Amino acid sequence: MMSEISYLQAVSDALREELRRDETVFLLGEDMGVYGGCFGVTRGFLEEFGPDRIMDTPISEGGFTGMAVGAAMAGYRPVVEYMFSDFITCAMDLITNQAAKTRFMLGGQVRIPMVIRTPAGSGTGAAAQHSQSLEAWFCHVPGLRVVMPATPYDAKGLLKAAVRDNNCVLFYEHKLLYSTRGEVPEEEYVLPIGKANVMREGKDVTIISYSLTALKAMKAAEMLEQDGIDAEVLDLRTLTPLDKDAIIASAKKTGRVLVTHEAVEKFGVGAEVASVINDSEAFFYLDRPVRRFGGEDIPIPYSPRLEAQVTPQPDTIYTKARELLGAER
Amino acid sequence: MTRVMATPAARRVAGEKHIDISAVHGTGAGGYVQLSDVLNAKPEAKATFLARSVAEYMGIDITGVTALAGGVVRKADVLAYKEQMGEDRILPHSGMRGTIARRMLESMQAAPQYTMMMEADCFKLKAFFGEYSVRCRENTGVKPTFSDLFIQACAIALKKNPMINSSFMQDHVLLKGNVNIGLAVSLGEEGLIVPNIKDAHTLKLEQITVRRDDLVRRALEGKLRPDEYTGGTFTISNFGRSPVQFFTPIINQPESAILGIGNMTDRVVPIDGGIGIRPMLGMSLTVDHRNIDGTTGEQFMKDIREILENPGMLVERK
Repeated sequence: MMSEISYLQAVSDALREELRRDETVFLLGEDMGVYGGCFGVTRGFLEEFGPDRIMDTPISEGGFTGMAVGAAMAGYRPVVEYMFSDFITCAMDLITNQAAKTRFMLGGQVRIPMVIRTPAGSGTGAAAQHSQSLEAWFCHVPGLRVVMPATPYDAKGLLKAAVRDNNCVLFYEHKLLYSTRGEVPEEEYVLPIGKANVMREGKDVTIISYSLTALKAMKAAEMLEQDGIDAEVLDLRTLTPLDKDAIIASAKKTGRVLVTHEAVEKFGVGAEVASVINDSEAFFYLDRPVRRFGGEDIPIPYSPRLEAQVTPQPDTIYTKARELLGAER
Repeated sequence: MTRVMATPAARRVAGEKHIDISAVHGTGAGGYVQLSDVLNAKPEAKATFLARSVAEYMGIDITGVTALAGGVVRKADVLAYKEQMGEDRILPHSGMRGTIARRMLESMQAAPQYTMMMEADCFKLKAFFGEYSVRCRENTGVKPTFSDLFIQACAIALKKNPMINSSFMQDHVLLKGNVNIGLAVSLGEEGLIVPNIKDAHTLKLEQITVRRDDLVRRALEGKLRPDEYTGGTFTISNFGRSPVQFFTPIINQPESAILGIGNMTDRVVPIDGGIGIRPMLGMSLTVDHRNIDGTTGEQFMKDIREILENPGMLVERK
């Protein structure tokens, strides 16, 4: 049985189900309990699970992230929430130096099974300090996992997997995805971390993306279809570990690859995907250079009009894809 | 060797299909070869080593050779292709070819020439020829031809029309005192040569036959003396035994005219208000318009026709 629910509901359901399933799971963050979370993900949780498992914290990301690392070492499975992913900078040491490395530095004597959930991305008119997409930073750190689902189905299945994973998982939820809806099974399911998903089969060009931009890529693919161009859309879902097999397979299939994401283009995920293709046999199937299309090299502007212009949109993804195909048509 | 601009996919597929990527026309921006170009390229057929070697030796592009059996091009296929396609050959100019080419070009450049055409009824001429043939062979032992009759007719007509028997010079027209009639003798593809019968206007018909027979025979043997094919004042080109009735001969410079004789064909013609079948001879006279106007040329042709249609004139005392 399937039911159509919102992305926000899917995240909420995943957390509730894991809280019910496993007593070692608990949530902590700012305004999660009484207020129900900044976007309402944990509304009603305090009543069901009590203040020991739904912990409102002081405004100190570094403090409660360190607390989560310690709890994880002690056998708990904490799920941390930051109100805005931009604030992750305050917890940088705890994530990169503690959560990511302790297990390795202690020779595997402890594990750090924790999840950091946080709303990311632009499009809400919240300006430069509340609109960033900083996932690439964490992709670069050994010991961390970065998951960025685009649909309610993926969000629920992957969040449950993240809670059960024995590593520190960063789980990015794009703010504009919360209100999107999609089919989700009513019965229990978990999706594997590290597996990409072909959202749309095509043969002429592959658009690789993730999170909200994957949905924009789907719209661009529909526009390309009007031109007779059959675009494939590959949603990475997980950035690290990266599903290289899926990337290579699609690149070999179409020979033309556009990687697009909202995060700033330079030194980003797009460059990594391009390198994966270059380093594989897929290179010999390329009929065009792999193109990246990411965010502009500037802080996200406050003006909604400018904000839309500095990140990929369906029409600009469409244009980039047409440019990539170039003289062939 | 210039490096081919091609996408990795194009290179891979070209390698798999054994296509020479440097021979593929690229349609990508800036002319690079993309996958579709390779896929659209005609794949080189499989060929045996011997077939390739033979093709290379003969300078044949093996991609054009079709395999007859088994999809593999063999030596026999290459040879059959060569047989079928033919080839350009170089045929060096012989001395004669060079001379003909030069003289024909000079004639066309020097003289504004035009051709007029007329028919002559040869009913009587044929009968005359039959009688003459017997008589001539008895008297001279030489077999005459119709050319002899045409030469004599021209000799007579040229004396009446001196402008036809002339040369256009820089500041004057040179009317020739003697009539030296050349006869174009075909030597096949090798070319032709035009020996001339000197002083034809002074000769009886049988003398013309004897001279003509000697000159033509030696022309075919390549034994003419230079003075025998120079110094002509008029030329006859006889196409008689061919389907051609009219054509446009080119003047043999520095002469002023040339008469082309076409075939003699039985035709239905009006005769005295009735209908009869007569052997009609096609005559084409090319003249140099610098000194010969229409009326002059026409008069000459009418005179020729009169002689041919009244062949007794051929043997009247000159």
